[in-house]
Amino acid sequence: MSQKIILPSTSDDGVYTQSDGYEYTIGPKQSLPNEANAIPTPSRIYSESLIYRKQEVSLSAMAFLFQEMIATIHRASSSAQDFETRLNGYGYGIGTRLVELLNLRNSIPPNYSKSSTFLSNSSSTSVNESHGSSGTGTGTLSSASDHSHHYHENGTESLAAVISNMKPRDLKILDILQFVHGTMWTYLFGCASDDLVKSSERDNEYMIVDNLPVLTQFIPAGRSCDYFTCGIIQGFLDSAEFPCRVSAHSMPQGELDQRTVYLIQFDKHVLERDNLRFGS
Amino acid sequence: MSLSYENYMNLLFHLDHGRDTVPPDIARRIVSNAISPVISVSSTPELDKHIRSTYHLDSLYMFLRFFGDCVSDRDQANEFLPLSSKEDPEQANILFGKEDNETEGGGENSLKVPSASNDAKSTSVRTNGNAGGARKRSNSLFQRDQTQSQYVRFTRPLDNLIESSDSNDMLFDYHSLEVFLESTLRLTEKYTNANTPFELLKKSLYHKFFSLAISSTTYLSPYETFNHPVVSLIAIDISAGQSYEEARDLLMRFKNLNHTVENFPIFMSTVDILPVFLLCYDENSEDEQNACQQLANQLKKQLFVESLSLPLWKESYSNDVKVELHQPVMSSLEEILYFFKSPTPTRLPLQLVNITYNILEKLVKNLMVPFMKRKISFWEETILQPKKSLFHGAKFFKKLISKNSNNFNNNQPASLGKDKSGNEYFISSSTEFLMRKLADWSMMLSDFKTAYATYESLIQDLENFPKYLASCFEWCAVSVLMGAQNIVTVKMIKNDINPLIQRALETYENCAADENSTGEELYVPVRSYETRCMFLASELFLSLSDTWTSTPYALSSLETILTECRLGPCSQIMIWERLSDCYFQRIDPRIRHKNSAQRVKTTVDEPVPDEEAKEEIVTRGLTRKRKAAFFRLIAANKWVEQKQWKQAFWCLKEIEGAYTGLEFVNREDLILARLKRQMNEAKTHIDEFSNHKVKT
Amino acid sequence: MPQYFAIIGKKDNPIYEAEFTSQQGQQGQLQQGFQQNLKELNAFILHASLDIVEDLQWQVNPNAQHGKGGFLRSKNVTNIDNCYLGKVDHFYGLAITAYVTYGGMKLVMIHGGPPNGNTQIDDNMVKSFYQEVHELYVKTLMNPFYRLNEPIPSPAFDSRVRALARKYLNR
Repeated sequence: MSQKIILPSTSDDGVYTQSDGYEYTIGPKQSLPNEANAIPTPSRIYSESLIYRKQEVSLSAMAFLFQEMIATIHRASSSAQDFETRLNGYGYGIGTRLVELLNLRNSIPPNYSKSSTFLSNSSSTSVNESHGSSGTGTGTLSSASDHSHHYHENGTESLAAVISNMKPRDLKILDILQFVHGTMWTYLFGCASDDLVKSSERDNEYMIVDNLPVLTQFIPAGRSCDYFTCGIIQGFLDSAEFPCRVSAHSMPQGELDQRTVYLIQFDKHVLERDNLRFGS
Repeated sequence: MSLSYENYMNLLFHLDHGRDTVPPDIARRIVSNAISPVISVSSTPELDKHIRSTYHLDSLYMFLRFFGDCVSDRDQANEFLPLSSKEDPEQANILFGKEDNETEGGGENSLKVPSASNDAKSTSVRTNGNAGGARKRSNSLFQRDQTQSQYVRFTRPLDNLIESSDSNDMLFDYHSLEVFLESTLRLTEKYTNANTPFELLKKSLYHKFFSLAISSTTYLSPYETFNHPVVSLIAIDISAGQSYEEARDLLMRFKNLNHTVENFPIFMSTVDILPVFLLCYDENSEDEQNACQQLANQLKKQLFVESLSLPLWKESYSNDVKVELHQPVMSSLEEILYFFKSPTPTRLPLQLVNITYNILEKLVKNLMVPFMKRKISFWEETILQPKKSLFHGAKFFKKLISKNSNNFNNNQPASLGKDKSGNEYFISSSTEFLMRKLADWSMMLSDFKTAYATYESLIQDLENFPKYLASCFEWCAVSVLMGAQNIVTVKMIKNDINPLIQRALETYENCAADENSTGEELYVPVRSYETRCMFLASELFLSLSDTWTSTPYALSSLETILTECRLGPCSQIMIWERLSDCYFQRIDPRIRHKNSAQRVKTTVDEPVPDEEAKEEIVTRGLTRKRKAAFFRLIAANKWVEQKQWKQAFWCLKEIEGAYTGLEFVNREDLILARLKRQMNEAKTHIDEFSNHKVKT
Repeated sequence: MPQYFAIIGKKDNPIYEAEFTSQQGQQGQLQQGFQQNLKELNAFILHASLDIVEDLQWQVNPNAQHGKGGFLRSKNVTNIDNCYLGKVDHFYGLAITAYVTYGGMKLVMIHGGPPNGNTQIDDNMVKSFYQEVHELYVKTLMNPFYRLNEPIPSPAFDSRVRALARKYLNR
């Protein structure tokens, strides 16, 4: 760093030192004359690969954590609705992240599997590795990831570089619901959801059916605890600009007494846009 | 009272209408007015003298020019109406009080201006103005039938026109235009304050600018006939004892102009101008009335010329309320600038104003329009029909003949002629020129279908005459835009209209290049045609109902004007602002209802932010509001450069809404903050200056 | 040629901005940044182009409209890359390109050009740049302490974006 140059135009080198990031009140910074020679600021988040690695966490561990989370929220809530809203909020943040992460991962060409397992079909609670070490209680766990050969300090290796074409953004209601029902469900619960149904009564209503919800399978009655999953779905769809409300309903069918229906009610404007942009 | 065409065009003097909306088909009205038939006015020196002594106007022309524009609107008489329709018996007092005030202040007040207090009064009255039944004719822009309104323009005597013209004349003079704008902006500064509603005013200013850009000279073009007089009004003064001999001599003189005037253009002929006598008399004298009638009969029998009688003088006039006249919407830049420089309010008795309108209506309805229609059908029969039947639509045959006729063109000296300065033009009696006239006159009478067909067939004949051709392309496109406004489709714009305009521009461009290479002149007249063409195209495109499809064409025309045409700085900023208007109007038709609803909501009361945000899901990407704001910002910047603080202030006010809730826009190093700083500095500077002045 | 790059959040708020200049001048040669009159305008130019970005964002084949995307044409219709929108707008010689992420973040950039000339866009390079920044953004998002739509103040992010700019845009 001995050859660090202070821009002649500014006396305030504090603002322009390369160790500072973006400051939104100030606006964009210019490139520094010698920034090419500088060592990138070390960061674990940016150096780790986003590629999927199969890491499983035991269901019981997950269940204990989930139980604790519910207990905490329960104590703080004044009503059932309050409880559901709070739990929904916990899931929401995960959903908004999944929409970016899962789509990006889906863009990786299938033959690119360097030292990694591709999406597995095995049923288990899968976990997002870089999401980890979180203290926010999002409920997603991480094992101490072994970032031995995915780790590149200079950050030159990236997934984007091997992607020739990004997976198209989902623009239509049905497309994005398919993604939730298939890819997202598989990522979260190890398999696609059991059904995706369009309401015959109302145009803006769709249902995702889970015969045996993984997360809440030990919770006997009521579907309030499934609002965590509702939150994930809602966060996902909202973030992709399909604003909606999601609620969970118990719909036992035969032996499947835990069968849950996630009811997705899109904002009427979403339908209008769908119609306007892609209608006949 | 709804906003009339004239009020809108002179909105600066009718600021009480400031919150109205832009009249929907304003562009077409302006174009109709700009190409309306021209009536040249010649009068005897005795008559002019008589008028000068009674009305302080230099000549009959100076008198009649106030009555131009849409005759049936009776704009000048309306100047008075808001006050006369008051139910209050005190009206007269108020009225005369106002008159007195204005007379006193007349010296320093440049033009007649309703003061703020008067505005408030008139608005309160205007609501029952129509109910009072003061007049049956409604001049509301929204109700008038296009075909019934006939615009006219008045001009000086033909010989005067010809003598003052110059072969290097341009359709409009960008320098005068700039001077005009500067004067108008000064007036605007003066008549408005920070609370004046400005949105409509700005649009009105642009349209005024536009109307002058497309028609601002009396220049007699050899390539089009819009400025060529259709009627020649020959006036004599009965009161001064003038009678048959004078009338006959004047008519002979007019008919012989072809020979007597040295530079009489070869492309003009007095044969196609209808002479009409105007007999001015004193209505109090029965003798004069009788003399008028007898003379009218005599003139018709012996000279075959119709006459109209105008009671220019009457005793009761002097007791009648006076109307202060406004400048006509369509005047030449020269005249407008002249009146800016030496503003003298003109007042005429209301009675006389109304009578003059009556006479003019007679002139237009009974004489001018029938004459034009007769001529048009005559030309159709003698020129258009034979041509059509000869070719009979057989393309091969047509090609063959037109090829031959092209070759023979050189052997047909009848069509082309050279004027004194050696320029070659089609002469007035040539088929080509008569066809052009037929088309132009059809335009004037709003028969756009005939006009279009004629222009189109002319295009084939004029292939070797680029200047004529370019103008033909231009007006062919204009006739479609004017006539088929409501049925213009995307396909039509793309396949028919836009190519026509592009070809017109290309052809003009080539002509200009040719002239450039030969002449030493830097700015060739044909450039002004090119600029006008783009102005016309942009505004007419913008007036189409499907703005989503049409605005890009308007935008590209305006952008080309900005980059290629020579205009003064203020004129350029007008165009920047218009660009912003264009973007603002670019709304997908499928969401237009939403958008208007949204806008109403925001103005009425606090919008429901949630609902609006959701609405945005649908409308996102189907408007260009942010783009509009950006161009407004640039305009603001340029106004600041020109030190037009009021304009800049308005621009910034207009974009306030677009940038609310965005933190980044107020960053110190960005343009918005800088403009605000500069304007504040200017304001304190001005304040200090005026304080200083007050103290000393 | 300089660039002005920004990531625009859901409420038209920039969550990251940077100016890139070419690095050719090792000894004393001045960097080619934006001129002052553009600098104060850049943020507004980008804001103005968002209308068009949003229009294209909801089109099935956003690259079909402006024929420049020849390299994208050959791909079969079902797999159209609709993240990279290509050149969306222009303003007096400046070109504006855009990219939309799955979560609706808009990555936009003004490409400065030679004076009085039209800026040429190397679509492949620009697209790669956007994709890599997209990845960096996703990584940012994985940080549970980062909240959606907030500015990204991380110097690590900044230095990596700048490295990408050098790699793809100003070589």
